[in-house]
Amino acid sequence: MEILKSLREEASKVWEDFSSPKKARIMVGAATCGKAAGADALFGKIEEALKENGLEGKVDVVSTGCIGLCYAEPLVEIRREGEPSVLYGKVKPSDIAELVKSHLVGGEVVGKKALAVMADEPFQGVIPFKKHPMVELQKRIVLRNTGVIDPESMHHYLARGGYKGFERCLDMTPEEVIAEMTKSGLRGRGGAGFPTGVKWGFARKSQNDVKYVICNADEGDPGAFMDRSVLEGDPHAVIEGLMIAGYAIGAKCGYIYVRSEYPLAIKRLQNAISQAEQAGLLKNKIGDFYFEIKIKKGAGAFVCGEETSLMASIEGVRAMPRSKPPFPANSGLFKKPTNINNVETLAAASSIMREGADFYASLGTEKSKGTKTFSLAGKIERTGLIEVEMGIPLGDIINKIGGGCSDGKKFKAVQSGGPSGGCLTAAHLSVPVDYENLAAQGAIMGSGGMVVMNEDSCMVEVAKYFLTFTGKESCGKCVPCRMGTQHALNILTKICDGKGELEDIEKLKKICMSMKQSALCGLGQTAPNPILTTLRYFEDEYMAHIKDKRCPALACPGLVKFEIDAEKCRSCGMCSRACPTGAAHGARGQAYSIDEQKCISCSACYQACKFGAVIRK
Amino acid sequence: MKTLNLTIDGVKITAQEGMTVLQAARAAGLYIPSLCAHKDLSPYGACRLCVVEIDGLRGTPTACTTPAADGMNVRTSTPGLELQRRHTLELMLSSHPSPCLTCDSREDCESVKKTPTHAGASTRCSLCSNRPTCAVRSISIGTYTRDIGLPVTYSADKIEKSDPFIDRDHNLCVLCAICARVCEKLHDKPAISITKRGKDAKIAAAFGKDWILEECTFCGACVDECPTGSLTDRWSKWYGVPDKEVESYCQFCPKRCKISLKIKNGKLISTGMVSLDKESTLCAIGRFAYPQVFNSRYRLTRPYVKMGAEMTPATWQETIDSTADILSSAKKLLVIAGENLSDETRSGICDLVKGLKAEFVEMPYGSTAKDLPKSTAEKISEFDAVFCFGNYLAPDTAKNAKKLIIVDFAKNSVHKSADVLIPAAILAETGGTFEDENGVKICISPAVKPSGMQRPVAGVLADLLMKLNLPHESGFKAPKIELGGDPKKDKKALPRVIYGNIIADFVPDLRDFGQEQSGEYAPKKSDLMGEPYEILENKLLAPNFHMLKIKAPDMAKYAKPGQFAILMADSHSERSPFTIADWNADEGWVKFVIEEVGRSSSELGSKKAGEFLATVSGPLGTPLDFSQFESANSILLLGGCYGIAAIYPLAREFKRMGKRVVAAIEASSAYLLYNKEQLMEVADELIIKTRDGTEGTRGGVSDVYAQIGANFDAAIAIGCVFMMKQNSRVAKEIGKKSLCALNPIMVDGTGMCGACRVSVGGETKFACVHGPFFDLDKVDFDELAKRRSAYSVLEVDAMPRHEGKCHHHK
Repeated sequence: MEILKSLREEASKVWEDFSSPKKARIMVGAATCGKAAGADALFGKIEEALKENGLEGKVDVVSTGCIGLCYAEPLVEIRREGEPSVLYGKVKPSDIAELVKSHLVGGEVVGKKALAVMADEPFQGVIPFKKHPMVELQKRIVLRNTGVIDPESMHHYLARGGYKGFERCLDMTPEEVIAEMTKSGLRGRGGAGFPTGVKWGFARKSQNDVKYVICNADEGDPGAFMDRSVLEGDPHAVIEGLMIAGYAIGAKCGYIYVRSEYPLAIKRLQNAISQAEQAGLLKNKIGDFYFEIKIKKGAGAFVCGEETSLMASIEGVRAMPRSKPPFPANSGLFKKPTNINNVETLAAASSIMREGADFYASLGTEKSKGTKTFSLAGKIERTGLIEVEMGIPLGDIINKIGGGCSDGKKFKAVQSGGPSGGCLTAAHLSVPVDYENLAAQGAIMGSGGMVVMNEDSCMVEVAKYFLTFTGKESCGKCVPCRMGTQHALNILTKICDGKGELEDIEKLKKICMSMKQSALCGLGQTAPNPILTTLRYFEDEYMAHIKDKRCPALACPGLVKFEIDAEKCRSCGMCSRACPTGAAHGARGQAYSIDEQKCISCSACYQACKFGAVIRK
Repeated sequence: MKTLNLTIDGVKITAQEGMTVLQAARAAGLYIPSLCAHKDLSPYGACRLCVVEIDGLRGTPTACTTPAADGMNVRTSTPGLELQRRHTLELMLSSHPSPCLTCDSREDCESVKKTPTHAGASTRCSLCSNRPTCAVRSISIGTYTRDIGLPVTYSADKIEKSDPFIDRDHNLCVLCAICARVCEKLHDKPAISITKRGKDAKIAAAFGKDWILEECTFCGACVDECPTGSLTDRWSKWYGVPDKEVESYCQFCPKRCKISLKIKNGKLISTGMVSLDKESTLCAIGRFAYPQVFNSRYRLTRPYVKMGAEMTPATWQETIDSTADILSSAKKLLVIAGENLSDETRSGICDLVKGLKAEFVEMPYGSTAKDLPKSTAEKISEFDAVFCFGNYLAPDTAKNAKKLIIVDFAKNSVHKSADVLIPAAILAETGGTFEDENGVKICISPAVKPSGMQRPVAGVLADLLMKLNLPHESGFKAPKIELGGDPKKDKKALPRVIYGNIIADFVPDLRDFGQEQSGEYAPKKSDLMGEPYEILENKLLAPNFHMLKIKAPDMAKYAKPGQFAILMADSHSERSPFTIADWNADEGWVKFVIEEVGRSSSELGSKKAGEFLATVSGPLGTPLDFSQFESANSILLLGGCYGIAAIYPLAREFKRMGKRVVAAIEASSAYLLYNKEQLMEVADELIIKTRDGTEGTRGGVSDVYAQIGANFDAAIAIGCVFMMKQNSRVAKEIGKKSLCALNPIMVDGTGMCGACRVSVGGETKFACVHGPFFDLDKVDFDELAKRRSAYSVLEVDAMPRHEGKCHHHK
């Protein structure tokens, strides 16, 4: 494409300059995860250390997106002139001086902080990034740029093949693009898994002068951050995907609906959109194709992830789902034919158009092609953002990539698909992760949130947690969701408080059934999933709460008693100081004890005791 | 348009393209339950009751949102669908005050309580003004069994009364959003929507502000379409369902909007839109103020003629004669009339003015006595007679008139200067030819008979012209009236005046729209008497149940178990009897439990600690004769509603006597129970029954009585008439000693008025002096129920409609 020609030439120079080991460089992961872990505080220290060592101006200091190893944030990559770049993890401001002095000046990698080297061969005993246990099993397509390029540089994106997929589209008819998408086997990554090509085909066939494409970036599942990382780390990939979708269905206007809780993602999107506009990709006629993109900030309602309420929200009315039909492909935003895809789907679409459908279709399983990103969260050793080939066993994700449960605890379950999903247990670790297999176990792929629970997690409380969430986020429109979540939550609370009765289980099942059958939208229909799956796999835990008034995980405050093991007690008084009610008491030289009458089971003493003397029963 | 062929439950029907499955079914006369679907609104799909199965479609789509298609095969009532619907309905009922719907005694109870009680809060159907038309009720009763198997959540949200005309009770709302959807359909800027999420979701104006501060124009369409009684017309809600609706035109302003007059037993009880579309919206005056002006207690209902110094009631003949005498003997006559009159009235006035060569002052639309030209007011005494059509003379002007004839529809202080007072029929009582805003002539027929002797003014004028032998002049031309703004859209442009009278005088809520009152009907200070009885505490025990602790040392000294007192909230209040629920002679207080069931009790309930009651007179009634229980060892006390409080002093006394006391109390639902702890202190056992089974066991105390009554030496039942009637049936079977305490209408409470007569064992007794205790098995409860409902319409007329506060008026 003519307009990109000179840009591409410029880009490859910039990228070469950036990636070649000729110049020393320090790169800091400054996506939201990095910032939350304290990345911002590193920049000042880096500047200081460079000054001290007389390297001012001789070393590039850049910020990048999330490379996925969130457990090790803040991440800093240091490259000495002519050497490969080394990735350091859990870098504190106080570490910077040593890293600069030892590595950058002295050429000696700081082994205790080094995670990997960004090269194919080991370097000074540090393993290559690709061999890192969290990375080895990954297949990064959507995430290929995040944490690697400067997300605010369009040159970087272009140099890595950016907008080639879109360019390829221009030589094809929209129908051919759709056929390519169908051939790739890509299915909606928002959770429902509807074939993307087929969906585009519907919107294409719908006759109207005005059509819309929407990118759903209203990622709301607790513990999910895949979309955010892509938006923050590789915004142009999403923009390119949206343009391809717009070209395929015949839309002139695209919306990106993004939560306002993602300020950095919004900033980077805005930056990327204006770069694309300046480059003449947007708001400019390219042949017959004209496209523009608007950002709509959502106010953080989970239900806006549902496509019809998302569109209502863009229209400026209360975000409530409506029944389908009519489907958005026929009557969507402003009653015009609309196609809506989530962030990952669009990012994958740009890769598919660039690399070709066959490449993508060669990955994954028969019905679930390609790769899927997941965010690993909860009680897992290595939390972070990963991308794996469809069909990988669940156990590989949890144990190999994630490194198993943290603190050496026993794995109990993983919640897949957020509040709409379900839990899977140790018995499911061999299940291949794809749409069909997860659904068969009562869970869903969802948008890719995986929250790991260990032996300390009470599964009734887990269900209660998710119902608290869906109950609060229910828009209130339809009866089954509005009332069903309330009653279910009340019953779960009752059970956790030790007041459950046997008939509550039947009531719960009845309410869940009603919601599944009758709720208007996906939020209500899937809200019972956490209850149904925990009931299916952990009914014994429910029964222990109800019949024995006992919480096997020792997590429900109302059902746990605290005692002090006199033999282990060293009479340090930490428990007594931590106790808010004066229940933990004692005197120097004697074993402490807990007054059951005063104890509110807050577990402060348990956490305060360094000798394991406080026992939960 | 394409015709579609569908099969619904095996029936082949046709539908038009564009119809939903529900519309197609309804058009073909097939029933699919649904609550949020509305014939004039677009599909919504919130109640999920109209679920159906359609071949080729996944799951159970809602009929209201699914477009009908050719060849569709629909099933509406498979066992699976019925169960699914029932579960959804159960969820809906669990958030709606539904104990009456699930009560096993509902039919029995409602045969006694034929109309709902006018309670403060609608905590169940029998206290809900919407009972006759409620959609939740009809769906529940029509289709489903009674046990909903879920805890009922009644959040006891305070009823919002801060806006004019509309009461909002969110406890009843099922969020069908018909109100918000109607608002959106009728107005360019809708005022209300669903706000908040999950269980907190509710209908509200932006930021929960009062509607009057937002875009709301008070067209009332939301109230009219609300299927649940959650939005109600404060003034008219208790009158029930109109038996007649007449389409007419509003006569308040020259717009002459089409209006539907809702009439019950010949009384205009409400007004509304003729159809649910933008063009038919009404302004606040047309929708809400109309019946209040029309039915105002200040209406002038008969003619008067001055005899000596006194205004004396007169017949129409005398009135016409006196008027004609004054007019014919006046050499110099002044006629004053407004613009907004029917052509017939105007033409009659013109004929009169011409025939008698009178001077004519025309008052422009919207003017009052203040607007009478100064020149006219100053020379009023120069006229031999003044004939004024409306309230256009200030009292000081009026008293200077030599002879004064006033035509008006409401009484006011100017009338004492009049020589003849002619009561005008207005609005729906009269009719005539008018011009609408486009200059088209319309003819309005009277729709309601006047409540008294009022006559249309055109008719009175015709009589006068004939009597005076004046010719009818043709060539009359109606004046073109300027209307400064559209009252439907602009609250400031609402009509303020009718016949020279300030509308807000009759409709106090209009002050919220910035309309000033004249002060004509403001309560006189001298009306209020001394306020001797201080309220020490007012505690809400349960919705509608107030515990009033009142300082009354003398009564506390002499009170005995079973006695009652007559309470009056204010000097103008009704006298009502209440059982003395507790007392303390040392501390000098008495307690009453007041259940809000109408005006007087709600006045009492609204009094706060530190305020005063006008009257607390008692103790009255014969105390319970405890000697008759000397030989008894065990007593069963049965209490419901206010009776839960009334059995407490009895239980305490029996306990003191060393008897075994078992108290059984009932309420419709757990949220209506109170005083449990108090009763536990004095009873050996407390048995709790709720009609919906939400606490204790399901049923009423008569079940307890039937089960264990035979084990007791005596039983006493106190509660509503229905509850006592249920227990009297059991008492007859058990045949042991049984008493009840009756609650008929009472005025003086000392045996003088006879209002409280009851039939006991065929004998007439006065509940106030012979009672309140009578043999439970001998009372004629059907008669008691009938006597208690004798004043039901007057009770509705008397219901408090205006809070007496004006939040928005500055």
